[in-house]
Parts: sequence; structure tokens; C-alpha cells
Amino acid sequence: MKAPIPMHIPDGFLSIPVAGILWLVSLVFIFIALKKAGKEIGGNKLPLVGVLAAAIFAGQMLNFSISGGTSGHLLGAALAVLLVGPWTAVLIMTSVVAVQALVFQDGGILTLGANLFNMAVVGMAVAYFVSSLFRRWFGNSRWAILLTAFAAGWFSIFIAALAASLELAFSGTSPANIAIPAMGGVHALIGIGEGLITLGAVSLLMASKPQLIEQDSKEPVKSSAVWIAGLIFTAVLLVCSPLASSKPDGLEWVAEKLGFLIMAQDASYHIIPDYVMPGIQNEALATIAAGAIGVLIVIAVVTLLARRGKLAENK
Amino acid sequence: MPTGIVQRASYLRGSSILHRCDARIKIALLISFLLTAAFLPIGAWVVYALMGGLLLVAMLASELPVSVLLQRALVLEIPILLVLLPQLFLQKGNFVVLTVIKGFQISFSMSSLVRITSLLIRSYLSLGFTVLITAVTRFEDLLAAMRACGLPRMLASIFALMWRYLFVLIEEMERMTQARASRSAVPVNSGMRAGGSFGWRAQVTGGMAGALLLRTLERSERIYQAMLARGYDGEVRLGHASEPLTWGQKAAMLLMLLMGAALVLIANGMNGA
Repeated sequence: MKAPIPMHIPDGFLSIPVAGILWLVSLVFIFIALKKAGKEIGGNKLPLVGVLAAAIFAGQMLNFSISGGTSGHLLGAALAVLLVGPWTAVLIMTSVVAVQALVFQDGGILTLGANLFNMAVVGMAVAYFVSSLFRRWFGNSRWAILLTAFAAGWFSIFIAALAASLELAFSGTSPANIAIPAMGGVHALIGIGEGLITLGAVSLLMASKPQLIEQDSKEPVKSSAVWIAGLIFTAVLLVCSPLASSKPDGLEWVAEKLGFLIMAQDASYHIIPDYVMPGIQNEALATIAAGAIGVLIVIAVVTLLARRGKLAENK
Repeated sequence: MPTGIVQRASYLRGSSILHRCDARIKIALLISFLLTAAFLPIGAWVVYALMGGLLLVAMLASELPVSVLLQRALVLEIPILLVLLPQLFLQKGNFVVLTVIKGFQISFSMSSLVRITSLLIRSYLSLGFTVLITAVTRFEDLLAAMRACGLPRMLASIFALMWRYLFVLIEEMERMTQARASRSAVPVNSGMRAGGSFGWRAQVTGGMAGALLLRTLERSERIYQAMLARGYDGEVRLGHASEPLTWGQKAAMLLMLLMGAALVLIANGMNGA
């Protein structure tokens, strides 16, 4: 049920400034979502978002075996975005992540703001950005919708993981050259599970209730702000992560200047701020490689689906 | 295949002083404990011990089995350990050579050892206290307290409806998983070979997630109709409003924060010395 490397950051892992700032950012997004989600699903129906959140929570416990005891499972941000729209998805993921922290201790209380940011805000915005981009590129055919579902799932996980690892690095908990390749690499793989489950779910919904998915493509609510936020998150995190992991000292320097490193007050830790990683000489390469492998897999799935789609259409 | 998630939900029935305490106070207590732990410097062993003592006293006051609480926190600590442990060997510092095996030098740095041990202790303290507070507070009370602390009403309604249907939908999911296990794709750790190809298993699981969502959408439509039938007008009523806090309670909350701040100051002073 658990990811081998947790996406839910526990208490004590983030410095107070990082945790505080992300609390603020998340709260702003959640307040906007409370205003906007009413338009997506009808104001009086808003409390029912809680029931959908319960379903996503339960859905996160679904898994399928990959190999050797590892399993693929669902986070659900992308699925929620595809099904009910971005702002409602923020509220769904907020409820899920908050209950996980408050009842099941998955993720801390002080770090809840950061976890909300990664999973509800970044996950949602990236999924929305990727899905609307792919819809624009590939149109509204069956294979395009399935491809969109996979891509939105994969990217939402991968980018959210990069955000989490940058936060850890900024807090001085885990140096960037360790956190980013580890989190990024693992979640590039976990994202495949997410993408495939999202794809499977969307394909079932298309078969049984096509209006749910097709209605979405007309985009009754224009969410250009979310689109731009998604673009920024994706671009910044994709560019920053390899940079940060190749120059962890640089990140630490920035964090120190901004006063983010309250946590790492150990003197010897400051005197020797550079790290060695035996075995892996070039960490930027490692991250880029992980990203590239992920992108290759996405492309492979695209071609495969495209072929299948063409075959089906020819029949 | 019960997932055990229901057992992991933290509330444990009881009637101790902690159970009866106002949830707003417990939230204040939790937040001041967590903030204190977060602000403590690396290697403040004495203060860690003090905090541990406080945690233990609080756990005893809850009249719940302390071993169960400690164990819960320990289980939650494992992933943290897995993340931190590798850093012991990867970071530069004053390396202590542990042993040499066939020419490979195994060494770790003393400063990382201090840092990682501190992080582990602090996160264990935080986890222990969170486990304790959520074990003595029902989610409904927690929600009412958060509402009193400024959680928007709509968000509180969403949380409340989620909580009401969470276990219903988890059971629904468990029935689906059982149906799958009895037919085809055996889940992980069952000792049997999973059926079908990788892609097929993924698609089946996706189909289950989709079906669960579809059923939930239909269910929420029924819930909405039922709410309308009972006179729902856009406002979910969440039970009684909490009484205003007494001065004594407010003073107690302030005292907790001050105690935390004092501990942080002491710890910093000791480290500086």
C-alpha cells in the first residue's frame, strides 16, 4: 500500500520556514478552490465532494502486483481532475491528504501544508496542464483520451515527487543530490502504475458513462489560471531539479541565505557543506536519466496506443 | 483480504482525563509539542529526553496501553528510517572507518550519525504525540474544534461527509478486491502468482478504481436527493457550536506554548555552551 519512499513528508523533516510558506500557499489555493469548485459541480452539491474524496481514499488502497513484491497503486489527483475538474480535485485531494494526516498519521501535521501543496496543488495543476495540453495536441479520439489519462497520471506523480524532494533539500533534511535522484527515480516508476490505473479507470468510464469524460473536453469552466500554474510547476521543477542535484551546495547556499536551514544547526554539518556520493559521480545525469527513461516510456505507450487506436478505427 | 486500514484509524475508546479534555485544547497541545520538537536543535539530547518523559506521562494519563501507542509510532517511523539511513554513509564529514571488507572501506561520518539520530528521535517524538492525541480524540470532535479555530464551514462539511462515507467506501473497495482475488489477479504478498500480464492487471485495477468512482458518483447523487428530501438548503449542520473557552483553559494553552519556547531556548543555550 505504501510507496517505498514516502510522498507524505512526516513531521520534523521540513524546516519551519519551508513548512510555513507551503502552508500559506496551500491555504490560498484551497480558499480559491472553495470559491471556484461551486461552479464546477453546483454550489449546493459542494459537500458531496467529501463522498468523492472518500472514494479516492478507498481507491488508493487498490493495488496490482508488478513483480517481486512491489505493487502499483493510485494517488488519484489526475483521475479526480479528469472526472470533476481541477478546483473540485483540489478539494478532494485536500480532504484525502488531511484525513490521512489527522487519522492515519500518513504525513505530519506541521508538514501537512507541504503535503497538501505537493499532492493537492501541484498534482492537480500538473495533471490539468498536461491533460489540456494533450487534448489540444491529440484531439478527442478514444486513444487520445486514454493517452491523456496516462500522461496526466504519470506527470502528476513525477512532478509532485520532485517538489517533495526539493522541499526536503531546502530544509537541509536530505541533500539535493540524494533526495532528487532517489525520489525522482522511484516516482518515475510509481508514476507508471498511477498512469496505468488512471488509464484503466478512464477507459471504463468511457465505456459505461462516456458523457462524464466527453463533457470534460468541452471545458465548461475555463481554468486558464490553473493551466498557467501547472505550466509553471512543471517547467520550474523539471529544470530546477537536475540543477539542484548537480549543485547541492548552491541550493544549500540559497536556503541558508533565505534562512531556511534552521533545522540543520549542527556545526560540523555547516563547516563541510559538500557531499560525496560513492559510485554515482554525476547526480544531474542520474536525474536526467530517470526523467528521460520516464519520457521514453510515455512515448512508447503513446505509440502503442496510437497504433491500437488506428487499428480499432480501421475496423 | 482486510487491508487493516480500519484498525489503523487511530481513535481508541476511553474515558481518561485526556479523552474528556476539550478538543481545542488538545489541538493546541499537539501543535505546541510539534513546534517545540521542530525548533529543537540537533543533538539536544537532554531536552529530547525531557520531551520523551512528557510524552510518556501523557500516554500514561490517557489510560491506554502505552505499548500499543509506542508500537504504532514505531511502525510509522520505519519509512523515515529507510530514508535517513543511507545518508549515514553518503555524506562527507569526519569519517569513522567501520571495517574493511575485501578492500572496500565501510565508513560513516560522525556528524551525520549525530544528525540522523537527532532527526529520528524528533520525528519519533512528533509521531508519538500525534498518535496519542488522535487516539484520545474522535474525528468528529477534532473537526468541531478545527471549525471553532476557523476552518471554513464548507470545508468542514466536506470533511464531515468524507468521514461519514469513508468506511462505507473502504468496505465497498474491499468487496471488489475480494471479488478480484477470487477470480483472477491475485494481489501482492499472497504467495500465489498473479494472473494475466502486467498491463492486463493494471487495466483491471484501473477498471476497479473507475467502477468505484462511478458507483460513488451515483451514490452521491442519491445522498443529495436524500439531503434535499430532509430539507437541505445548502448548509450542512455539524452539531452544537462549541462553548467559548474559559480563562483557565486559555491560560493553560498559553502555558504550553511558553513551556515549548522555554525548552527550545534551553536546548539552544546548552548547544551553544
